[in-house]
Amino acid sequence: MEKPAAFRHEELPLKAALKENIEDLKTILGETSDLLIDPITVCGVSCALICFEGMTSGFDVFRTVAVPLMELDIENADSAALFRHIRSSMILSVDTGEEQRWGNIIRRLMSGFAVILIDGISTAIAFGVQGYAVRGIEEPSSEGNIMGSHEGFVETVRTNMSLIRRRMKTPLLRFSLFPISKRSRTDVIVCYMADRVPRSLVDDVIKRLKGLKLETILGSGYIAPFLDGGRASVFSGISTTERPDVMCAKLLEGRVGVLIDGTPFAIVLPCLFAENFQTLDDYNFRPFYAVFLRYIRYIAFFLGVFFPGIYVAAALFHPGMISAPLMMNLARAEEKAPLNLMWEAVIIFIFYEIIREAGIRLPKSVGGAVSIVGGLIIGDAAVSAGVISEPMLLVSAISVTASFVLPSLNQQITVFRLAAVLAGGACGLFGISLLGAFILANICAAENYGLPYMSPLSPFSPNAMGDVAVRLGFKKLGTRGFTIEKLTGADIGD
Amino acid sequence: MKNKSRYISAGQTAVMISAFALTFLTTAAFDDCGAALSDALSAVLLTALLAVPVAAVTSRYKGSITDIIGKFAGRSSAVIAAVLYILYFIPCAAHLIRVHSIFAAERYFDGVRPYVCIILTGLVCIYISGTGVETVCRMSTMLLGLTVLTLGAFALFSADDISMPQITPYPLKPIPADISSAGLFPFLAAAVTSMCIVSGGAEERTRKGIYTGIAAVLAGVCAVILLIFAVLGDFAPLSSFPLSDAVIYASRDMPFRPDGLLFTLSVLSSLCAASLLCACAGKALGTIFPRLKGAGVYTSAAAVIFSAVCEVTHISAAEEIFSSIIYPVVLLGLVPLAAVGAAAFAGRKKAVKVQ
Repeated sequence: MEKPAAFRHEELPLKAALKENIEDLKTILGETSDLLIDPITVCGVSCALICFEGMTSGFDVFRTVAVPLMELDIENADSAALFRHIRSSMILSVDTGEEQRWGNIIRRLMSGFAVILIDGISTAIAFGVQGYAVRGIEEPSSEGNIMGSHEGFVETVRTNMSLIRRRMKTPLLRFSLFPISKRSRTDVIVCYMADRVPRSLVDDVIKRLKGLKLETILGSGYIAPFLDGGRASVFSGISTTERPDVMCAKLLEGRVGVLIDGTPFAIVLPCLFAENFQTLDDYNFRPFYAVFLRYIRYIAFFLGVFFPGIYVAAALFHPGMISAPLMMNLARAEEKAPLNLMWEAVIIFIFYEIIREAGIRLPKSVGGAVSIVGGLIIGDAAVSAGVISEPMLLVSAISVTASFVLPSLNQQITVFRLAAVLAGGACGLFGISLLGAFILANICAAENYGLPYMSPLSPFSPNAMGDVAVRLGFKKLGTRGFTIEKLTGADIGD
Repeated sequence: MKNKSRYISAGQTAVMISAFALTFLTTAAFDDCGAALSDALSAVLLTALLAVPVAAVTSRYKGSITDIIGKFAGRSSAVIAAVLYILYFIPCAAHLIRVHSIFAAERYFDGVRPYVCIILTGLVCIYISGTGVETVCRMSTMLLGLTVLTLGAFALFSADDISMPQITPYPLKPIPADISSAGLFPFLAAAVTSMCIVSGGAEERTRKGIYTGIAAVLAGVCAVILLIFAVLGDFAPLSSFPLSDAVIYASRDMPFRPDGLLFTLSVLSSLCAASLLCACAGKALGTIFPRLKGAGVYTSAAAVIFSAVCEVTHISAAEEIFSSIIYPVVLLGLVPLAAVGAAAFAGRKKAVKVQ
């Protein structure tokens, strides 16, 4: 099948004549305004310095590439001698390479390289002089902590690579960089610890990435479905992180990390259900407090998913399960509300999702107003008007607040919470129990790269429970050499 | 990517066997404490005896009973064995779904006919069975956790209501001639028979879970029966679901009635038990049709339909197959012995050829 016109240049070789090469380049790239072609003469040989405006550092191009070349003085220089001299006797950049095909040359140019073409030589020399605008290293927006590092990944994949390398100064830390996708040719880096992860797992991940048939990759969400397990599951077998320290901890446990150019969210795989309840602060606090917080998160998950549904089920189907005084108060409060409890809950949660979406999409300067409006509308006016009851509002608020404790499970908690309300409202405790069994089965069925998602709870791994049921002190935790390959029932790799 | 992990641990098998006993306890009625204890003891002893060939075969050879038969006696023999297991597992699952749905409809879903509960339970059972035997076994950890939580809640808040003098030794009654018609034996037999197929994902230690589970069942069932009669006393024989009533009565002074926890536990245990049987039937169906995907879905759908039909038409086909002693004797005794015989014969044939 003939390749589309946009991709026919990839295997096109460079010619020897400079003028023809420049014509070819203009034909491939069209009349794009950001292409800069500067003809220069070096030791009497015609050359051209090519780069994209805004992608390179003008200062670096001038001082470290152009000036040394212009000041070059070689006796009886011809094209070949000039090429040899530049390649062997000059260091114009730390990252230098030769390319002979237009596909690679253009990819280099679009990655912030400056390229020199020499008349009579069918090989281009590329110098890494990146100077495009990048965001500085900031605290991650989604993974806050108190006592840990405040550095987060940025959109530049090579900067992210250095953030990991700076923390893990071991030769066993490996990076594998390659471009993927047809149009965007996005750089991705697969990182792993060579002594902790089976080679076949790394190869599997690289194979999947290189086999992607996407046209463009603009975020980790584009790649995630292809790296996730095959079985349909509500829970994802891969996780994302903005934190280099979290990434390092995961790599030490024998996982594989994927850094993607253009997004600060790195992918870690495979991941376990229990990890959603772990935070970096757990390892900075004293063990007793860390354990306390962890169980708070377990309770928060239960409250976030089941509390509204259980309340609706108990109030509608099993009032005898609630104590008499409380039941009287609830009945009094519900008298004013015209709607069925189940529909009250559904309306509250739908309104909450609308306000939450609005708060995210609006500019930060206006976002605060959404909270006030939302709080007034739902919190005060709706209750005063008798549309919804105070107990239902209280239950919903507790459930929503509990879900904030687990941002990585927010999607699942939101959907299951609504399902629990509908199940409880339609079938009472029987419906809630069936839904609970479905959720449990969904979690237990999930598996990624040979690792059951419910590990180390099921199959039970006593050694790994030291960081799930409790948080052992570092005297034990830091020396046990745990990797996911050691989990009971894990069938990873070779 | 297809699921690779096929590991099933000893603890998981023990808990899954216990799930069948829990289903029995939540749905059974007891006429007399002594008779109930006798029934439990005799059921455990008989099942332990019937489980010996299974444990012996699976400790010597890797794989399920049908795999072993297929390896040594040929595919046609494996197909026959698989058909026998399917014809037992599906009615058993149908009966389990039915008895639990009757309990749920009567106590926790007022105004609804049991066949509605059968359909709702069946939908979840179809999903769980479709995920495979390993998934059902992995649910055992949560089942164990919920059991511990429930027991803890009751022990914490209901202990005052059970005064020690009420728990007196009950004289055991003579073992009835036909223990298979009701009681614990059919549940335990179904549980252990499923191990013939579950052993396909098991390691050597897993086979020990069979007897661990049987021992746990004996201890647990006897303890619960004693507690029921300690709490309800002479009212126990009058109750259709004495365990549920005992829990409600024991917690009558609590601000919140915790029997909802017990009900959730009963739903989960009955779903696990029924789904395990359907998943095992599905695995056996896979022996007959190797290219068939999602066999557990078909077998569980058949069980649900069978259960609903039995409930609506009031026929007792599923109950009769479930309660019969013949099927467990054949499937637990004769079929594994046939597997051993086939293996021994194949071994001798190989030795003769070598000579």
